[in-house]
Amino acid sequence: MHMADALITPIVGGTLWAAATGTASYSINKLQNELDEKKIPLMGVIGAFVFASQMINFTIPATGSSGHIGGGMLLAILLGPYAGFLTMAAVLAIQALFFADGGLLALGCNIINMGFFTCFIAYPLIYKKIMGKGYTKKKLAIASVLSAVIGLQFGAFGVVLETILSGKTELPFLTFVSLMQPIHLAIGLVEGLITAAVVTFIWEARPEIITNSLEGKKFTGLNLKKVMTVMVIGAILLGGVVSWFASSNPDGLEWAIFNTTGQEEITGTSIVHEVMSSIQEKTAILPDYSFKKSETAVDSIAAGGTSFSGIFGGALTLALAVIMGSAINMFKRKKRTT
Amino acid sequence: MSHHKVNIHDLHYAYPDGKKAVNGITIDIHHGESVALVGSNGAGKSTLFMLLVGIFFPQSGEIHIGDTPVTKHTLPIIRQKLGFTFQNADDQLFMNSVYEDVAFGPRNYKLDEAEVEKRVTQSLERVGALHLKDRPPYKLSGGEKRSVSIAAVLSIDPDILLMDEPTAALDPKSRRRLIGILKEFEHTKIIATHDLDMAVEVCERTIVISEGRVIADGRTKDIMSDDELLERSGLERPLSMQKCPVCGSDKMI
Amino acid sequence: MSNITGAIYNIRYLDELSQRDTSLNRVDPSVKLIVTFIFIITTVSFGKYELGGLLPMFIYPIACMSLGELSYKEILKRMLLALPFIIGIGIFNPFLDTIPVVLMEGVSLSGGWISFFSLLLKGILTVSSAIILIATTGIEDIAHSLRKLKVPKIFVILLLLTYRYISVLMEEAASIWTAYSLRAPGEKGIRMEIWGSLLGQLLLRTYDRGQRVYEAMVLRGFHGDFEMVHRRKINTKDITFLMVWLVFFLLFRIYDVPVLIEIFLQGVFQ
Repeated sequence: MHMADALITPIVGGTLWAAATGTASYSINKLQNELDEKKIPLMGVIGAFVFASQMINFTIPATGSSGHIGGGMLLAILLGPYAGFLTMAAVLAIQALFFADGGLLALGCNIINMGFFTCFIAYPLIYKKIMGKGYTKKKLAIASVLSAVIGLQFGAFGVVLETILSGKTELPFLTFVSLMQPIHLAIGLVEGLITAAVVTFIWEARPEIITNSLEGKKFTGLNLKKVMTVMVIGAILLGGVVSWFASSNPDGLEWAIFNTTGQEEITGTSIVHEVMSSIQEKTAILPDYSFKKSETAVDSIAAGGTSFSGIFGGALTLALAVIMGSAINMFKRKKRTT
Repeated sequence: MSHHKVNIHDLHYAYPDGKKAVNGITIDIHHGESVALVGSNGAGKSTLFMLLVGIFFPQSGEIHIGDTPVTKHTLPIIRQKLGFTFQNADDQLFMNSVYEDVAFGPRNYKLDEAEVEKRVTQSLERVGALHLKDRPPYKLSGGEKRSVSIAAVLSIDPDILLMDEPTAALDPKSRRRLIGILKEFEHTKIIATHDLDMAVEVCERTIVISEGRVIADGRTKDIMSDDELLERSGLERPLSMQKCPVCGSDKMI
Repeated sequence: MSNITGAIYNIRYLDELSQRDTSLNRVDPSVKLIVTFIFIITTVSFGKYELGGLLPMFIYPIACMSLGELSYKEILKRMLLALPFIIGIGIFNPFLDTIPVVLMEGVSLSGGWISFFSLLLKGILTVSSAIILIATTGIEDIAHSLRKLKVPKIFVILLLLTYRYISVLMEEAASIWTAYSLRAPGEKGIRMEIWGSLLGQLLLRTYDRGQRVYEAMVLRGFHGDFEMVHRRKINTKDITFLMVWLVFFLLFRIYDVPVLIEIFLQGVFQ
């Protein structure tokens, strides 16, 4: 469920990048205050471990299918929320770069969906609450499953919100939600069971690994809650409000608040890329630009104020690009042979 | 140049779970000596190394590297004098290219970049691995990894080399090359190993450890031909010193 | 498991590509990083019905594949892996948005199809640009440019270490899987009873390795601070690369190039 670049607008991507960066700097500060540098290599190898273990398939009993782990919750339990979050971010960055899993702009979304909700919501509010003061194998198992499931539910909801806010799907919000949440309930259950199996195994073999990560952290509960509430609300407000203002032409989608149909480009450019928007404004090429130019393009007036024109011109540009590419290749080959 | 020495006096160390790993070890190693540290698995060799480099601290007893005692305060000095290679080279090669890895130590000691480059080049040349400098570690063979991990400690210009199983998992040719390299070093060397043939070739002195104690300390030749001692410490006569299985003649050097 | 081997191969292949010496490999990593980001932002900022306008954006990946001497096939292969999720979400559009849009005289298509194709194009563009970036810029160079862009050191170190040990741990995971499947033939995945012990064993080993790696670092003078050396300075070629693409992206975004071409051609033929 990696979010992809194509599914988001610059504004959503930028907002979540900001949220992810904020959480990361907060985590780094926390780490630097209370932690020896000993943890850094540990974070690195455990990040690599999560990466590698995602490649191992686990047979899900009675279904014949197989699943694997996402790892956010496991990282939080093993390393504590701050180090866990940063490690998840590193793993996701590598996946975005090397496996085109998610994208660079969507990296912020993915870090929040898979790192933030596990480390800063599920971990303190569920895992830690259940563990309370003492550990038992049973409590560990329940806490792992429950927090993994709920963490993933939040993550899936994040995907829904980000996609809807970006206006890239015509799916009504409610339909989308009722599609995504149950699927991720099943996935989360598998992830939770694997996490629980690993965590309880480690607890029996080397309990100090599990207990250290918890006791090492002096959680300032109130503070943390405040931070995350502010961030979540901020992200939603920013996305929602901006897209509300941006949608100058709300044309009857069920969810008016989230409606950004056909207008993403303005919201994107105005915040993320101010330079571009200011140029647009100066040259009076405004939201309805596509409408205007479509009128000038003969015979291709579009319905609903949008246009699809320039098929021929597009094909031509594409051809030009390919020709240019092969020209560079030829030039290079020549240069090499001479 | 009498400072490249190691003095260990009545060292005791027990793990947190109570297992006594080092039980009163006393060893003096002189400048330029090559010492093989042998003993069965779990005899205490690795623990002794951990104590030497200050990863663990003894419950009692003292270690001096040169004239400096090993304490928390002296660690930066101690560690610059010691070059420690790990049994598994992968644990030691954590950067993403050979050059960066060999440069890691010198850069930590804040040398300027020209000096770092000189050190990296020299160290890689000494182990015959200069051509590998731009490679990522995963592209190296086992033997190459070993050479690079040695270069990575040579670059901090240590006085004393500590090596944990340097020939483990090497093919015969790589092992042969490594032995050649080790013989050329003038450093004081302490080599923990099960490869007794290598010990015979590289080290003039051998210390046998069993259950956290020194049970023998002497010339390698003498120790390797003491069958009773070897048997007692879970070892066996090196191949090069066994009688010829065909004619039964003595191959002793 | 082909999955793991495939992943190891993929990482190493991209790593090898990034070690070559092509015109694109030589461009400053920070510049490439910035251009890639602006490219992605520009691409996704196109409206959902703006299909024609997106096409000129293909000039960037095509030019880069030529400059970086990358094979279309390899890039395409990697791209296909990333598209299913995009398709899965976009495929509903044609059914939900059925307002017809006139393509040319007599031909029309529902808005949903257009927004779906535009989504697909965006997917192809963004994914290919990211692959091109990593295929011509090694992780170490990216780390250096992240430092230049003021990303905290601790995160950059973490990124490098994770990357380094991914190779090692994937090999271990692969051999565990091989060992498992040799003794449990015909199973697609790991049986539930041993989920914990199998992954747990690997984790314990990983944990100890983490400890040893730390020791190896400390023994070579590590004190929580990584020295990173910038070996490269930005030159005029880099600046030109940056400026040319910025101007291109801006033009493509503001002017619908294909439409302009059509208008121009219509003028010519009248």
